[in-house]
Amino acid sequence: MTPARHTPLSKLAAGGHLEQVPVDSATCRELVHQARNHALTAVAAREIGDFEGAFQIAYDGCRKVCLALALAYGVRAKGDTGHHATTFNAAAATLSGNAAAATLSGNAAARDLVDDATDLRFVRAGSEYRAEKITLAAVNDAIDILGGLLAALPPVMDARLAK
Amino acid sequence: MAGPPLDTVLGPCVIRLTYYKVCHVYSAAPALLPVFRSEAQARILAALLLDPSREASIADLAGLGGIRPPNALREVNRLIGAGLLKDRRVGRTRLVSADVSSPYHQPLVQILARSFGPVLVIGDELAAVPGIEQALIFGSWATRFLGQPGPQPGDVDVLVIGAPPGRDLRRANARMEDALHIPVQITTVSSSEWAAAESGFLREVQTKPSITLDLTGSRQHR
Repeated sequence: MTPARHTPLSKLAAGGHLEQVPVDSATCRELVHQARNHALTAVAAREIGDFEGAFQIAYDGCRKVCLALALAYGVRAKGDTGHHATTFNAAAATLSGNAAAATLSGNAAARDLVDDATDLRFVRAGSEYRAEKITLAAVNDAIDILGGLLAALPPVMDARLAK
Repeated sequence: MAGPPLDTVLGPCVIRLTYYKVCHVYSAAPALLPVFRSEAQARILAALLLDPSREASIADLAGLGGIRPPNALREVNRLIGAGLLKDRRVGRTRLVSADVSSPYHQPLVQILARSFGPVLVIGDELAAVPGIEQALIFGSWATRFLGQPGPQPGDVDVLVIGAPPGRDLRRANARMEDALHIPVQITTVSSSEWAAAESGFLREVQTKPSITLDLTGSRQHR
């Protein structure tokens, strides 16, 4: 785990990286629904050999699950440079020291998954900015991480929305 | 499949470099960041300030700086006098380390991590990732580091040769960026791709200046 991902939600907000938004449970659940579809689409893309497409859609699914969790806490990343990383960091921050998350999903395991999802940005950057080919191993990893996030984060989100 | 030795592939262009063994002239101000008195001084400061738990003898620091021990002694005395380093004696050996109480410690750490840290930090991080046969820094950062003047690099380009586990390598990549505060762009190729060098990218890496990283983990396990 890197120090950046230990940053508490309050500090991310104070640093100007996050903005407060009204909590809208319908939006949160729609994002999770989209992420589940993205997982299916990623598998289908992998089957036809479109590894770049499969990775991108799996990565986007990871980002949407994390965004859904952040929105459940009433925050989202400001739309400036690095807002993807901030979205992942915000999701990780909601899990840190979160008693409900620990009870429901295994706090550390969920946080590790968010970290793994955050690290996918390196693959994405290589593909988008340096035209690197995405390997089957990277696609499988992204799909696995998305599956893990879809199992771990929605219960935490639902518990938050129920408050 | 193991490729040919790096020296064979790169021929006379390769400049082999590890953090403790350098083959370069370090008496001049460093081209990478010419605000330090000398390259040797910058390397000694980087080695000690970027790892405050580290204690090194004068002989070790001479090796780090690529200078003779009497010159290393003068550099160390100057830095101790400025409050940036401190020393203690164990028997007849004088051990030198960073003085973290200096008000200049943290700002210098930031400068050194950005300018001289990558060789140390990236080498250490990659040493802990399995499946890496070789790794090197190339591109503008390597060019500046090896003494060619030019604009400050915006990132550090790293080529990893081997088949490391993706998650391990990406996590190491994240730790590098956290430590160095500069983007680290890692490209991975297999040893057979490296040996074949069929792409223009690999041919360019093999013919331009690069820094071969020490993956023995000697700094971690000293």
